[in-house]
Parts: sequence; structure tokens; C-alpha cells
Amino acid sequence: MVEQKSGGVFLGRARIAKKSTNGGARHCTASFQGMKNDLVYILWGGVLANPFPGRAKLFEGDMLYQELDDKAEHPKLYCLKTYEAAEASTGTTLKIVKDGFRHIPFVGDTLMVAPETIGGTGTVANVTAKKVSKTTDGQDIWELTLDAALTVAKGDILVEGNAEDNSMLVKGINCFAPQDYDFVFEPAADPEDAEDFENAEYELTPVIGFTGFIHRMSPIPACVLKLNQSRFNGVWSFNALNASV
Amino acid sequence: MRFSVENAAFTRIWDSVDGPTIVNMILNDPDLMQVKPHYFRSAFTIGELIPTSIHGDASFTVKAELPTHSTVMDMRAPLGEGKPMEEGEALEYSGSIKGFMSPTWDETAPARMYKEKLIEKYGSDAVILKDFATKDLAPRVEAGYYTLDYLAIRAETTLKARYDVGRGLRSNIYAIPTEYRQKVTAGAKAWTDPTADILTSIMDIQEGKWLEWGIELPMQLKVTEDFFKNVIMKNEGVINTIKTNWLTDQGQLVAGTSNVSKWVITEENFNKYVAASIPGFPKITVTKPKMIIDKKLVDPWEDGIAVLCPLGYAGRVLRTDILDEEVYSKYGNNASSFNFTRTADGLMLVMNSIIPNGSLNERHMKVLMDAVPVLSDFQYRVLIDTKTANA
Repeated sequence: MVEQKSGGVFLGRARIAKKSTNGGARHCTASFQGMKNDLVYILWGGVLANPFPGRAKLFEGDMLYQELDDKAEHPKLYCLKTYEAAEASTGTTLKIVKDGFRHIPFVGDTLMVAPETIGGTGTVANVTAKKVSKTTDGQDIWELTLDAALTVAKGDILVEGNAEDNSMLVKGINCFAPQDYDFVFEPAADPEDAEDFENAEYELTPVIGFTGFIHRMSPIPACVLKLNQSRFNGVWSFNALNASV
Repeated sequence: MRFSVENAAFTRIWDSVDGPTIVNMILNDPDLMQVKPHYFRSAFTIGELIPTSIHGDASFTVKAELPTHSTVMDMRAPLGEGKPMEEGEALEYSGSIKGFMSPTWDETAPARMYKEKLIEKYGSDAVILKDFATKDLAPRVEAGYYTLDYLAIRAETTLKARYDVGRGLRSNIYAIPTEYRQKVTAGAKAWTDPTADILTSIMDIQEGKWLEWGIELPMQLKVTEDFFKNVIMKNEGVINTIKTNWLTDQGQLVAGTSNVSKWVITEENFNKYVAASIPGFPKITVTKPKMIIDKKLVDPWEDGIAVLCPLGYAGRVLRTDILDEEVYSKYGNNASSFNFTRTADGLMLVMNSIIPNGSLNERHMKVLMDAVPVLSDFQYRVLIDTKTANA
């Protein structure tokens, strides 16, 4: 017998209240009218290799990298997660800005200050604990405990790191989220694990370009800002099939 | 009426109004499509549409209830009350439907113009239409059938559906949970040993499972054509049984089978003198799982596995909505045009589009399928590891 949802009968009342931290919708597309050519879906799409491990959100205009082999086949898809330091710190406590329009950090994440080049190396640290807190001036923050010290200045952009080779996990930028994606499932620890049939995986197809207002997009580290093709201050524009940078 | 390129059927395949009708006529013409026999059709029926939720999952749950075991009565004194019986245990597993696409078909305006000049020259588009149907559309629909074959065979022979072929994504789809998987070894000897008593092993495994399940289901043993020829038909016990029964059938004495010609060892005689002569022996279903994928011969059947399962279908092919249809019908750029035609019992979607490229147009065709063959008889499905003898 095939059903869409799990079977089972419970003649009572179940309490399934759950806190949701999906975040808000932040419209950041720059409304230049005319023939933009951003909304072109990429080849294949991909299984997201670094999904958020819990409820979180990928926002419109967020950047991704689709890695293809030399025949443009067998895609791997990574999303660029970025976090902004709320205060300077040098130890194993890291305070990052928290509001409804930010990527959410999770215990187990590997973080690093964004290197000078995309995919570059640096000091990485793993998040071992997190709590919601406030800075002395009342700003909401995530207070993270790290397993190694990071030297961070206020306003620094942190990105996801790869603990195996102390590098930035995302090795390039060539596609964008055309709208928000809400992550609501428990994902597999390794989406490539051929034996994990129980946990979720996310498949999505981003688009090849994006034109938006930088201050409304997720924080963009300097190494990624170098890709900006727009010559208007405050405006991001990039098209992976027509990249001049 | 005078022939014109504008009204030719080939031209109107991309028309938003007439296109689906013409594509449908092609898809339903067996001479044009020349669809080959496919394994999944013999093992899976076409199931229902499972809607994709707003969370992005098209998830299904397969439920099975194990039958209630029989028992004996409890002795009681007059007026004594008794204990109720346990009911069958319910098992279930779930998975999600994935999406597939055939290689795309693109034609630029200059390439199109060249083709239309040819149509004009010949005064008919019949040849080009037939070429398009047989060389472009049919192989792309066939690719969908091969995908279903591949997944059906992997699911049946490993109890896991993982897609690890093609040029696109590689991903797990669903698996029968480990604790529900029933896998047994071959018996006293591996079946590749010609002296192994295969027939007794098959009956022992089947009868053991019947007892365990509490129900004597009519069963089939699915093996590959290679396995049937090279293992079963070369097994000494099988050969002797065929020869002995053949002699008896000829009215001769049972002794002296060594003089019987090897030419009596045929599939027909196996069915007549082995399968039909042993009470309860499962029907042998010989499959041809090999397929050509990207010019390479691929055998999705798990090496050394024979599948003992109930007679009849193993499950259903479930499908879900194809997002392209909604996105491009509702939100497609007005400078483009799209038409959609369902085929293969609704499993596949042919999407034809005309998209601007500079000052000209391009024609595109995609064959899409969001469907997966799903096992539903998993509680009565046994994988026999024929290469491994019992410990």
C-alpha cells in the first residue's frame, strides 16, 4: 500500500509546537528594467553539498558555486554562507550579527575569516556551542564557542571553511538563488553518502546571474566583491556566462 | 491544397496550439516511436501522482502488514476466558521522487532555415518529420524507459534505489530499511558450483520463508538470462532431473541418463521437467537486464543475486509534478513560447519551446520525467546471494 505520508493512528491530541527561525524575506533585486539575462537556469542543478544542518534560509541573491567536470557533467553545488562579526575578538568566543535576514550558524559548522581570494586558506575553527545574546549596545548576536581561536575585527565577514585543508569551502561563484529557499528538514551529514537513505538532501537549480543592491544581499566578503561587474556603487551585477572579471 | 512550409506538421510541432496534438500523434505512432520491450513494464504498474509539497519533497510511504501467524487453541476449563491474539505487524518505509531529463535538443534559426529549404525542395516534410520522430524524439523517450528499467532492476536486486548513471546528479532515492531486508545465502554450496543442489536450496529457502511469513504465497525466482544459461542449465542436479523426467516421459527406464543428448537441456524442458514437476517450485522468470548506456554495456542486475519474490508486480511507478511545466506556462517570457505533451502513461513530459537568441529564435525540445519505480512487496522479497555458501 502506498501513501504519501506516514501511516499511524493516534486517538488523542499531539502537541507539535515548534519554534521556527526561518527568517524574513529580504528583496534585494535591483530594479533596472530592460532585458536583463539573469533568470536562466544552470545545467543540471545540483545536490547541495553544504546544506544548513537545521532550519535556516538561503536568500534571494545568495551566491552558489556549481563545480562541473571538464565535460560540464556531474555537478556539485555549494552555497556561500557568510556571517558578519558583531565585535572584534581574538579568542574562542565569536560574536556574529543576528537578525531575520542572516545565514544561521550551527554547532558543527567550520568557520574562517574570508580569505583574500575565493577558496583561499586561513585559520579555521569549528563551532562547538552557540547561544543567542546581545552586544553591549543591544544588538542581537549569535555568541559562538569555537574549538580554536580566531582573530576577528568588527565587521569582518566570515565564511564556511574546510577543516581538511584550512581553506574556504566555496571555490568560486557562478550562480545565484533566484528566490528564497527555506530549509526545513534534517539533512544527511554527507549528501554523497551512498548508504544514507534516511536523511534529507536538497536539490535545486540556481540561475546564472544576479543584479541586486549589495547592502540588502547577504554580507559579501571582499574576495567575492572583486567579481562585481557593476560600475554603479552599491549595485552588484554578475553573469557567469558573460563574466569579464 | 498546395504544400507550404508554414503549415507543415514539422513546423507546427512548436506551435503553442497545434503542437501538442502533432507531438501526441507522433508519440502514439508505434512505427515512429519503435519502443522496445522494457523490464520495468513487466515488474511495475503505473501508479498515482504524488504531489510535491511546498517544502520541495514528493514523498511517499509504502506500508505493509505482515499476516497474522496461525496458532493452536489454548485448553481451558468450562467458562474460562482467554487471551486475545496479536495482530499483524505493520512495516513502512518512505522515500522521495526525483527528476530526470533526456539529452536536450536544440536547433538554431539558421539550422532551421536550412531544414525548411530542404522541405520546400522536396515539397513535403514527411522525411524530416519521420527523421525527427525516430532519431530525435523516440530515443529521448526511450532514455526515460531505460532510466525506469535501471532503477527497477537496482531496486529489485539491491533493495536500494540510487541513481548513479547519466551525466547529471547522483543521488539516493529510497531504500528498504536494513532491518526489513531479507537476504539469504545460497545453501550448502555456492550455485556457481555445478554440484550444488540448487533445486533443494530453492525449495528450502522458499519453504523457510513461507513458515516465517505464515503464508504460502505463489512465488517466482527472477534470474538473468546469463545466470539461467550458465549456472542453472549447467547444474548437474538440474541436468539429471531434466534427463530423468525426459526419459520417463519417453516411456523409457529411468536408469542411464548419461546417454541422453545434451540437446534436451532447454529452457522449455526446464519448465516442463523441473519447474512443473516439483510441487510448489517457484516460476523461473528469466530477465534481460543489460542495456547500452553511452555506448557502454551496463548490467544493473546485482552480480550473483537471484530474487525470490511473489508472482505478479513488484510495485508501482510513482510520479510527481514537473516544475518546468508550471514555471514556464505561468511565468515564461512572452518573447518565448512553450508547449507541453504528456506521454508514457503520463510519466514523461515533452516540452517544446522557442527561445530568443539574439535577433533570431532557437527551438528546443526536452523530455522530462519525475517518476520512480517503488517496491511495494518488500515484506515478501528475498535476495539470494548465490555466490556465497551457508556459513
